Amino acid sequence: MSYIARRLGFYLVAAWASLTLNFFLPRLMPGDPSIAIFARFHGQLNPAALTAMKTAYGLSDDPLPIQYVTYLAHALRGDFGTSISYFPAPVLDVIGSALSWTLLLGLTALLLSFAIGSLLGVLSAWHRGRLADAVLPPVTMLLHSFPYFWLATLALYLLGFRSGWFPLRHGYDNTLQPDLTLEFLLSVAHHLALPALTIVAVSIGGWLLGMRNSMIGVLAEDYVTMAEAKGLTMRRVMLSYAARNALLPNVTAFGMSLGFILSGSLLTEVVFSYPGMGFLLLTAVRSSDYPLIQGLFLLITAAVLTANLVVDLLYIRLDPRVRMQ
Amino acid sequence: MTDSAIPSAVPDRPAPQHSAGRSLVRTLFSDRKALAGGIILLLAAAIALLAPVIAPGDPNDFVGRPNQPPSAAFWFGTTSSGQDVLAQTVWGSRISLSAGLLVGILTTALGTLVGMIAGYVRGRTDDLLSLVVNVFLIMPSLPLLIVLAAFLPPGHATIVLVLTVTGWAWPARVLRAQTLALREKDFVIAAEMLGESRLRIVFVEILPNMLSIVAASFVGSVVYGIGAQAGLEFIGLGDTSAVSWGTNLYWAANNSSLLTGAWWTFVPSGACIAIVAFAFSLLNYAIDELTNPRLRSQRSLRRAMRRRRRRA
Amino acid sequence: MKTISRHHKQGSLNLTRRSLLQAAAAAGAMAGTARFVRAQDGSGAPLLRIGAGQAASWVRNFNPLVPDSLFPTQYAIHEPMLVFSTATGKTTPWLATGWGFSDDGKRLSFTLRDGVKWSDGQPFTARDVAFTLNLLKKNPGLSGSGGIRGVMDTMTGAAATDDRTCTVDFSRAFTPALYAIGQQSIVPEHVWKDVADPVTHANENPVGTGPFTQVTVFKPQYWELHRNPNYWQDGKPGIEGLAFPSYASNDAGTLGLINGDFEWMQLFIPDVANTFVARNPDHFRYWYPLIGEMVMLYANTATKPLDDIVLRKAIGMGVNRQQICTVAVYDYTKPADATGMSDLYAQWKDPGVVEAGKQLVSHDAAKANEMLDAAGYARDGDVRKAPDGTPLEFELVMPSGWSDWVQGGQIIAQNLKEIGIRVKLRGVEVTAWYDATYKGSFQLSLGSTSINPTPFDHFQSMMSGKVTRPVGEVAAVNWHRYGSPKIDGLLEKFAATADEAQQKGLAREMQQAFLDEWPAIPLYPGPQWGECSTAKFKGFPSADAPYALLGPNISSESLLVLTALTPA
Repeated sequence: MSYIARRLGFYLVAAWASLTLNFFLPRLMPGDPSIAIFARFHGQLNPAALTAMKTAYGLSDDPLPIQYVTYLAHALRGDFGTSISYFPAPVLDVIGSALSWTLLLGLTALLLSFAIGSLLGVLSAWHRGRLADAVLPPVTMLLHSFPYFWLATLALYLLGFRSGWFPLRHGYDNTLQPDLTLEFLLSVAHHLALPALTIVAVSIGGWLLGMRNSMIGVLAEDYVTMAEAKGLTMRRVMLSYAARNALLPNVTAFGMSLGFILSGSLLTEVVFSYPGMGFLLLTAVRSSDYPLIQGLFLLITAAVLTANLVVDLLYIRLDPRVRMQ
Repeated sequence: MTDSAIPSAVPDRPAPQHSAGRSLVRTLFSDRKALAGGIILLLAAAIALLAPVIAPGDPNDFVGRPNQPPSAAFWFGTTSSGQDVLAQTVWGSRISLSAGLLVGILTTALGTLVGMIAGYVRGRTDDLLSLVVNVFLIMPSLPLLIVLAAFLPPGHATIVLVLTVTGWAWPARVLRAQTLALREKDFVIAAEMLGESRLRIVFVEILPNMLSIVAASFVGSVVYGIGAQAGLEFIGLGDTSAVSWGTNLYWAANNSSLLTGAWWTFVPSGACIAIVAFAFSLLNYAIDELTNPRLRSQRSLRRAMRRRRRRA
Repeated sequence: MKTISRHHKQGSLNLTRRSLLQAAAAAGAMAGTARFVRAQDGSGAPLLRIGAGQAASWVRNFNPLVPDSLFPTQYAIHEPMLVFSTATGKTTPWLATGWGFSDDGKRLSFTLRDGVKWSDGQPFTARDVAFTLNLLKKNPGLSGSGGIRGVMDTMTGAAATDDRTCTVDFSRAFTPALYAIGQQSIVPEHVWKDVADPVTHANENPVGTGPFTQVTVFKPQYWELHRNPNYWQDGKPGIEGLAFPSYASNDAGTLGLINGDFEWMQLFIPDVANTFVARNPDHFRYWYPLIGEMVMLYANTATKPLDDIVLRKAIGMGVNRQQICTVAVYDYTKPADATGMSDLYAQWKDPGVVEAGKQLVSHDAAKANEMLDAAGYARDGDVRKAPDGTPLEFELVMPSGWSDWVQGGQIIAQNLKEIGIRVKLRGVEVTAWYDATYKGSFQLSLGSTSINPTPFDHFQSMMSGKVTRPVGEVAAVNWHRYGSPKIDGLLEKFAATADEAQQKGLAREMQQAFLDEWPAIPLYPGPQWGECSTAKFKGFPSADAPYALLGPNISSESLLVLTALTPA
């Protein structure tokens, strides 16, 4: 119980720290948001108009502490203001649609790489010293070493452009409406394939190695030898006894990765023109859209915190040793 | 972790301090993978240092006709501006490798310092430091990277700073856990009772026994540094006038190199990053085996046994 | 710079587990499937697919009075009174059939066209014009079209004297206002009079007089604009509608264009003949006329020693423009002449100035070195020193994402080494670049000039001290801060007359002043990008039929193209 209380306490402090950092981040950056406004009017703006625009854009000249309190109050209410580059759309609206696509891409890629990587890791550990172990780890490590955007660009060019097997951009075909029809879902899957697969190709190595190393440690334990001695099938021992316990550290890593889904797929989105939050952040940064940057940042931090909290709570259930502290 | 390379029942038995470093290196490089990785890295370092010799002149000079495929005159061809791709690749290694190295050193140093202090001193200091570490861990690094890189003056210092800020928390956490474990060992308690200063205990007693983990996290940080820097430069957030592997790829993409068929401007820098990262991974692989002897393959075990017998 | 696009909240995906599994199972079978059907409307008529700028996603904003509206809200949805083609230099009457200034130049009258209806069936009258202009005057937060914000300072008001006549009054004679006001998109009074705040109004279902006004489909990645059922030109537009798929980066856009996913686009494509045209020589076309802005090397003339004209002239001769044109712009352009004006102002150019200034825009490092030696910039090793001892080391700041400028900057830095000037390049984010240049905290920068029917604004932004501000304050025009009293006098005379011959004479004097005072260094005329595919549609402008710019620009001449296109 005290474990939960301590973790909750930590998360509250972390949340407050993130909110505060988020507040100061754009204000610490050199450059004037009002310059961005000037630029969009191609200079045809007189000082009186600028004041009017600043209010419309939500940029205030109040003293810093007042701005901070206002900001906190708004953030807790879920009011992130109006976007400057997508004026006059509210920040939450702008983030809204991008969010679902990032989640789709991130979750698919994470689940696939976790599942495949862990499975291959188990196989690799089980067949130590034989062909599988000699081939799988180095190959996946090599894939992992390539800069992701490089592989993604090549994949897009060869598999999308040259051969025409995969679409070149977007989350689904333009002629379709978002709907629960098979046609639409197939289109989503078709557009998801290349982005997700390139992420999977690059990330498998990490999961594989982690699972393999953990599995090797577990295989040396007494209870595994006992299970083998009892005459249980290899498969049963491998999966139900060894893999289950070896999975634990990987699950923690999986939980943390879940949190980072929202922030991780930027390069994928740029290369594949996939409609997600990463690309939104890049364009927000390029147009000095401070409200949007803040909104995105906050959302991502909230996601990471939540995922971590969930994993921490789950861990109590998964690992009995923690309960006894 | 010393000459006793056979797996023992207690994998992390502390080593006599004076030979910890040397035997670590020796055991490490007896492994084929680590050897291969080490050789590749040495080659890369040599190329970076000898850049003015291998490709004299300014790599930004316009020396040939644009978009020439690899030929006898230009081994890697020319870029769409008429620059020598080989020269750019060779000179690019300097910035990419040095940035990676700097990031590795800074994050490991900072992480080790904070981790060890937190792990050894415990109590309120530990609570505070752990809080800071966890807050940094939870901060989404890529968005923070982009925002910082976009608004600070572009250049190496910024990229290195930004990558260090986002990367130091992970080594800190790992090393804190390890310090906590080692702290309870007999030799530490003995040193405390002998009245050794805390500083001495931390740096002279505990640190040498964590060397392999520190080494592993250093290697990981360097790879992170090289890769993340390339990624930031690829989306144009670095100094686009500098010559590095990441900016080479940025220009290649900007000039639609694949669409114009000029694959030779896009492939070399990416391949270099991959090869160097792979070499580091090989090293890490070997270090992993060192920390956890159960991971070692049969072959390396037999070799270690032979060596022990020879020495005995 | 691309159109900034908008986003409209659509229902986010609601995927149930079963459909996810279904999709996953079928995904494996998808690998070899051919592409899906392209954009089509219900009747089967193809839509013109336009690449209207990079966007993460579209935001539904059709308010022509703010910068955030989607292309082609200004012009294709809300038409102006006249259309000016930069390709021909001709003005075409559009919603107005005639116009003229009063003798003192303080009143501009427009005669509006008969029989024009809004897309909702209401009649278009002069009251809509007066309303639009007064709305702009009342709301300083509206940017309007083109340079109209600058005109609003001099405009006192607009009034409709009857259904077909609208008069605009000015506080002083200001004849360049004709084009700014003439090209302003007109909005319907009967719709907009009830709008509470025109600055934040998104105008999601626009009502306009233009050829395309009906928004039928709107998704974050794709939207469609169909023809106006009440359009005033019979038989036009010739095509059913326009489609706008989004793309994330220039590269993705190029990929799509080459793939045949777009018909009308405005992209900078390296080696366009091989990259683009060669893929489909029967239908892929491009045209890059040099009738756009002029790319200049600006020196901050409010700082020493860049206020010295000799230094600027020497820098101008140290730069190898041909090298920049070949390397940075793929030989799509040629070195500038000494007037500092692109072919846009071909009818205004003074051949005498071109001839007299030939040497100033040539690459002559020897002459430049001579000039600098004579002016007291002694060499100290590799770098020269100014007479007061400061070394000639300058920082050239530019947006790091604009690759042609960055490459140009790199070449300039290399060129100037030969004449003993060290240039350090600094690439920054676009906003930081605006910050440095607008506030005058830079030394050297690249920049471009304005595009207008007359060179009035060109010279005003280039040399008028009245429109700039001191270093430290924000000056969005003339940020290189050069003030010429001679030019101010000429500009005043130009603004006071509506007689074209007189204006041309004054323009020649302005060019001479430019040559004499050399406030900035012309580099090369920027090409106006434009690509098209004639597979499904014909009637595009080209070098053989140069009636308007080829690319989908936010300019009134895009109307000329959109009303000229017909199915192939």
